[in-house]
Amino acid sequence: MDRRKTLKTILGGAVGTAFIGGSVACERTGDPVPASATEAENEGYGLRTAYEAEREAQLRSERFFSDYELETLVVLGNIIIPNVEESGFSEFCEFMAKDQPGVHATRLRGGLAWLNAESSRNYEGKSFNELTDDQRIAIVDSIAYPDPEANVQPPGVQFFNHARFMAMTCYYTSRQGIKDLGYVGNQPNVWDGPPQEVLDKYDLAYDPQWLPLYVDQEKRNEQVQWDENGNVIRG
Amino acid sequence: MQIKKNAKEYDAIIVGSGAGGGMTARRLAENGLNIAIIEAGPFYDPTDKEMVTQLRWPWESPRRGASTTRPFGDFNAAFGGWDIPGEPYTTFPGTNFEWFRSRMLGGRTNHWGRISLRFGPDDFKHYDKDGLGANWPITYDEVKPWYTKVDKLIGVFGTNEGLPNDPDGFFLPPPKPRLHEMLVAKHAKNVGVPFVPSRLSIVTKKVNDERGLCFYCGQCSRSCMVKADFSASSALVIPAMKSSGTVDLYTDSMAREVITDATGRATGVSYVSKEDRREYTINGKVVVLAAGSCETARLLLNSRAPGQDNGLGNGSGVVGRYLHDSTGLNVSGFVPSLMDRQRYNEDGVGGLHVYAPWWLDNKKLDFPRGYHIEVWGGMGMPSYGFGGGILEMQRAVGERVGGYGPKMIEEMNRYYGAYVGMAMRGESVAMYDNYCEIDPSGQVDEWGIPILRFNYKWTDYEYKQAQHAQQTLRSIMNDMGAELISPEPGKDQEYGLLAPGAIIHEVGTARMGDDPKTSATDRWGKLHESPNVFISDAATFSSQADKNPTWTILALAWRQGDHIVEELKKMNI
Repeated sequence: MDRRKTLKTILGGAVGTAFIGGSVACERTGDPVPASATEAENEGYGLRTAYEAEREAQLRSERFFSDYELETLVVLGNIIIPNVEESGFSEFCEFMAKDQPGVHATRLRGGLAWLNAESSRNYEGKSFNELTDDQRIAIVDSIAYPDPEANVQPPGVQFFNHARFMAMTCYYTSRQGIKDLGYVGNQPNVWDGPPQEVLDKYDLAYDPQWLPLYVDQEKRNEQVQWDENGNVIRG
Repeated sequence: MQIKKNAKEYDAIIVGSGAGGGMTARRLAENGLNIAIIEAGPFYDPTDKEMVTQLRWPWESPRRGASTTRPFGDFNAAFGGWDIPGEPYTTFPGTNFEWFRSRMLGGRTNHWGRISLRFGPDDFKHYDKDGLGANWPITYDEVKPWYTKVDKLIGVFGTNEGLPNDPDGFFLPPPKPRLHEMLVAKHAKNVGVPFVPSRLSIVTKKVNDERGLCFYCGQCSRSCMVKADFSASSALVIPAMKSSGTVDLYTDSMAREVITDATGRATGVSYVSKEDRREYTINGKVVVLAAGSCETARLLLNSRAPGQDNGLGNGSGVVGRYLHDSTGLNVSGFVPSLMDRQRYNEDGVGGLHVYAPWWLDNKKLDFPRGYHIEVWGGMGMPSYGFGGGILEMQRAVGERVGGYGPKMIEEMNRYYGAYVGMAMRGESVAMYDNYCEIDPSGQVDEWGIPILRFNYKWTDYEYKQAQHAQQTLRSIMNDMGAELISPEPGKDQEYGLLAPGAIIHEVGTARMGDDPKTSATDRWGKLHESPNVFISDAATFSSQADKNPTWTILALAWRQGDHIVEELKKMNI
């Protein structure tokens, strides 16, 4: 989405010609959705306004973290969630530090500096990256468990909470994380209630008052008909 | 191809392309009129593959769907939000209002919750019930046929429950409830709150040839590529452009003021082009304002006619006043019995499958107006922030709080789908002292247009209602065995009541009435003081209800559109 695109949308609007494709053409086939809806996706992630597109291009042209900071994020991230870097962890942190600087920039940068100072104090001037695996875990264990009774957590714990948040979001919004989680939606579907065994497990049943009124998915392609009181004529 | 200077006189100029403007545009165009639509944002067609965000995955966004530039997330189909760069507004010290604007074809209908509720007989005559606010000049029975037309054109699922103030309609069959919705309904019943199938403008069964069928991705907030949800862009404006009339769509055009002649009759509308930042005027026989309640008030207050120095049509002084939004608060919690859920696709429709319409009698309560209850939860698609609540969830189930590594991932996977929330959405009372006005500081936005200042405070009516809702929602959650995430907020936290404007149901800034001294528009939504300026958005609402305003906006806009056609035919305008 750029200026050119903006102009294109204006052009489309001013001309006012047919923009409607054959999106209802499939209705009689019984497919839940037109084939066109599941075709290969376009570039990008859907329409951006000119403001959004320019802003993003600007952010991508900037660099916030140093190489060393990014390396540290990779090491730490992979401790929080194994292989989280494969989900794009350091790239995500870099982008968010610029996209929401007030939320992420100083928290992450300052936290990394805290982590290196803590490493240095405990291990003869070494940075976090220079520690052995056991030494890193020792530091992580000292900051990974907030005191539930404390009103204010110490800086290391606050940093780890934030790093954990970033790792969790990054992982669970990635291909790998969504697969691990078992989310099976975001695709055309025909919803017909929870599986019977799930209802049984929770000892739940449809209210008999409404059971006959729920949509009959076998007949959803048939034109709705009402009686004069607005009740759907069934059959 | 911006249309520059235009000597053409349109039959009508419509400002705004949301629910009100879209419906008016469609009705006028279908009757063969030549109309212009002035829209502040870009063209948008949810069916255009290049624009679609539906069915995209969170990893496709560099911010993983975060709400940096769009308050409801990166894939949400509303451009804009409560803060728009270059378009500020202010609030009077000690008051609060958050003004959501969506600058695009179809406006806020591209992302809304599709909860489509008719107002009931009492909602049009609430003053008669409790002596507060004002009656509408029209009754439910007068609007009823138009609601039915809207039901049949656009499609809304639901069930006829025979409730006195939540009227039956011509509903499509509703979808079955989700697991957590059945659980909530069951426990709500235990504490005396009846839930019924929800009423959403989503096409679950073929309603006509224009619209597609829901394929249950749960993403109506991204606006539907097969037009299975109601968006004013795909369901109203774009069909209008294919109808017998002529529609010129002026996109990226920021309406500035209504132009009038010496008699106060509107002759056109001026706007600032966002392309070259110059001002243009287009001419029309009728002007319809549908820019959104506050933007419409701003337009009137920024317009002048001879003898109308206080803003166009504002002899009564009520333009901008009686601004009111729905009340809202949320309660959420972790439901241990929903841990370790069997996985299946429960995306469902883009919203709740059940809801609780207002079920009590205010005569027996210490607050005057009701609320309805919405519910959310389930195994939804992860987005930015997913897993952020793990510490609270660990606490809720007695796990050691914190940690990392495979154990934490295992815990999170067990917690997935066990987080449930409820939202209260209620009616506030329209108050003369809650208003927007032109900011007296003289500040303008980046288009050179004087900005709004808001002055809005909740009253005890809303606080007492919120207190009641907190207790109700919490009692349902407790009955369900939920661990509530936050303690019940007290008076110092305004009982958890969200800021005015947060629910995006603001109405009332040019309210209709039969008396020109106390109302801005007549029963058709026409300004009392101008023969040809109409308002077809929620600015005309004499009062809100404990309902979402969109279905009423649509019904009134259809009614008004047909009225304008008749009046033009009779040469009355």
